[in-house]
Amino acid sequence: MVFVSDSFVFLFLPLFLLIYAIVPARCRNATILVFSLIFYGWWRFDFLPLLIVIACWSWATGLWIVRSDGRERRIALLAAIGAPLASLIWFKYANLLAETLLALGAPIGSWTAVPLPIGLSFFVFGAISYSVDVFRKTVAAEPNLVNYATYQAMFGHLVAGPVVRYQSVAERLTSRSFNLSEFTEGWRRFMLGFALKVLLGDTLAPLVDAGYALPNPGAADVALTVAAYTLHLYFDFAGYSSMAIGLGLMVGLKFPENFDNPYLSKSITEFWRRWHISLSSWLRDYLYIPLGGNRAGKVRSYFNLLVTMALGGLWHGANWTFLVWGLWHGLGLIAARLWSAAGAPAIPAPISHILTMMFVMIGWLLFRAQDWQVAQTMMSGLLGFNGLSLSSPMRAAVRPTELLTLCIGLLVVYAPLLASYRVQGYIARPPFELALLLWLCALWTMQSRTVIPFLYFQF
Amino acid sequence: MIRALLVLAVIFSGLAAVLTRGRDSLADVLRTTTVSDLTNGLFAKHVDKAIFNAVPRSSALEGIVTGLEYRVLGDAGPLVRAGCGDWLYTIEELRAERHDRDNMALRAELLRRLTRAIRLAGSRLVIVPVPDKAEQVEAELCGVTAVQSRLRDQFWNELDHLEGAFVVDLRNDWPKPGYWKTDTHWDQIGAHFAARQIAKAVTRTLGPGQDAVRLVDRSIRQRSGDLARLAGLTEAPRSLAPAPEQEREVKLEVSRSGGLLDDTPEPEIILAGSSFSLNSGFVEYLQASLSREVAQISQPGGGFAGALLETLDKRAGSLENVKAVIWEWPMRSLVFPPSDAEKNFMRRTR
Repeated sequence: MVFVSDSFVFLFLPLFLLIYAIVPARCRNATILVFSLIFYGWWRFDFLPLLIVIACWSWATGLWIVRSDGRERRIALLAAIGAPLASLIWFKYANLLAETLLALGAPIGSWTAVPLPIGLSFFVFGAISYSVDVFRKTVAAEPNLVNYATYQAMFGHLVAGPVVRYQSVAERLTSRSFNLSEFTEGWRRFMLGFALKVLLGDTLAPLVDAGYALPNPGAADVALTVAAYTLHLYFDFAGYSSMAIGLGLMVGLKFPENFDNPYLSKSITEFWRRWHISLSSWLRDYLYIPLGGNRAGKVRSYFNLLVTMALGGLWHGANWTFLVWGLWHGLGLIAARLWSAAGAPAIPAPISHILTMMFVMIGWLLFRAQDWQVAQTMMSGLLGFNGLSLSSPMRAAVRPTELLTLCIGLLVVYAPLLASYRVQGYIARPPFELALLLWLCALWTMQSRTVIPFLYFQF
Repeated sequence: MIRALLVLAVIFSGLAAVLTRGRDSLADVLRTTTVSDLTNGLFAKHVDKAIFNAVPRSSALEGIVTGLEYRVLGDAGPLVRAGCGDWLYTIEELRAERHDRDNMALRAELLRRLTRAIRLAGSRLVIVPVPDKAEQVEAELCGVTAVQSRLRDQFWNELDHLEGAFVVDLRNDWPKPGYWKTDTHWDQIGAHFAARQIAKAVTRTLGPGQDAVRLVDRSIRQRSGDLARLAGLTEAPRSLAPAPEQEREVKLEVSRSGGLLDDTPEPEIILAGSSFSLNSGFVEYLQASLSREVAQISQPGGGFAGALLETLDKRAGSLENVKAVIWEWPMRSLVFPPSDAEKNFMRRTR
């Protein structure tokens, strides 16, 4: 199930809130868990056992870690991490490996594609961080399976994050009470996220699709497409994270913030402190630092950075373009470090912001490409090999509404820089009533968009 | 407190609508669901659809918003391009796709194989590519040119001669505009012109027809174009939407000389086309121009060769007594991805 659907808004959510409100406090986690399993199973029920097994395994090995010491404790940690990681590698990367081997002519016979269970990577990252934290004794192992499974499977963050660490919800999992102001704030966040995704993100999606479908895009075609995708991805993802945080707050769980105006960054380092914060901090704490972080000299730290970003890139999807995207950012981070280490003069803020955004947008160009060939086509288009102006097919595909949305999106992104503090606050943190109005508009838009495909079948 | 209640009122009124208006369809879904529906996602799809249908929506409000978007921004939705002066175009004619050339190459091969198949069945094939509206009414596109149409034209012009087939080129002397403003199809002038051009080609090979057919013009009615419908503009207030067009109803009168049991022989010409063949009185004009009856087997949404392939697949025997097959298809369909029927035919005739 997805948040942006009639089924979620008009069936799942009201039923969940109703039952959650009337069950005794001790049954509330179980209620969240049951609804989360239904939420997940809505897509495909046959992958539910996988999630349940991973949750049980992670919970049991957490207790094993606590009750053992020395070598056995390390074995327990390896078991705790190994099994979920193996499932992630199998489901997420088996197809990529098989296709690559086949392309290289390896005799592996015929290959049946393995379907990827939605949200598996978030689920596995949650399990890994829990096991490591228990091993490091930064959190106590959860003795109650239902509580643990609720943390793992909570429908708010199950499908697209943020990456929630057990320690951030541990306390509230066992003791929380209804708080009206949190409930209202949860709704405000949910409604804003919903509106961001539907009104801004989804509106730009067709423009991006049209741009990436062009066989010979010109420089202006690619520039417009990448600009649209930069905003589409942000509003889609930040909107989803906002909805997840809101849903958590409604039931008294606080999920971490995932975005902090990333497109205002003035360096790549700053960008990664502001973009997908829960993932970048996860990668730092559970990959970069265990690899040695900055402790083993400059060269080693650059290597660690590159490996972390490359794996982070590959985590986003089973495609070599994601690996290249990760490496691109890894190299950008290394270059930024080298620049400051060399004592080079600081670049004026507006210029460094523009350079950072150009770097980020070229990265998004790779990130969105379905394969390497598409990435090459877009890159050569951007370099002007197919002309500079907007092509006629692109002009035909671009709708005025999309251009208007692009402008509104830019306004929302740059709102924190506006001179007027009042306007700033209004856009950066809109009041509840405005959020409600935007949500109603988004609900209407969502339904009218669903009508169109049905209409189209008539012809 | 009031704020939270406001939102809860919205979602619970939605829930109430789902449980009352959608009760029967949801019960149907639950009754007919199988285990495999649960595992392959069909269950969710059916429930989603039932819930979507149950949630009340205001078509009047939708019409106002769509109309305002059209009038103020010049936006006719993702599937329709708004030109100047209320001219609407399907985006299919204007967009470019990465696989366009591959699809055209595939269709070139499909053309050759279909031509051969019809020839082997003993019929003559008359191929009628319908020019793009974007190309013929390019002046009203407003800031966009019909580049893609010209690429398709170029491909078509460069295509090798199709042995055993007659191609009717409608681009020469096309009576511009020849298309409805708010519909993707040819208007009655365009349809009549196409019919006459085809009739000339057929008559050259089969000789003049002898049937006593006569066109009868009937009342004028308002026509709501398919593109206006696709853009959601038919629900918009009149001031915000393009004006409906006027269409004269055309009827064909055939004087049969059959006996008591109507033993008139079956038509010797069949029309296997797309929705163009089903619009604007085309088949009536065609029969009148040919002075022959024509068997209509065209399909709405038939695209490139939907009707023709179905005939070859399921009613190949019916071609035995057919002297000519008129195969009409829109030029834009050259770049469509192959349909299942087309893929099957290509596999079978390898």
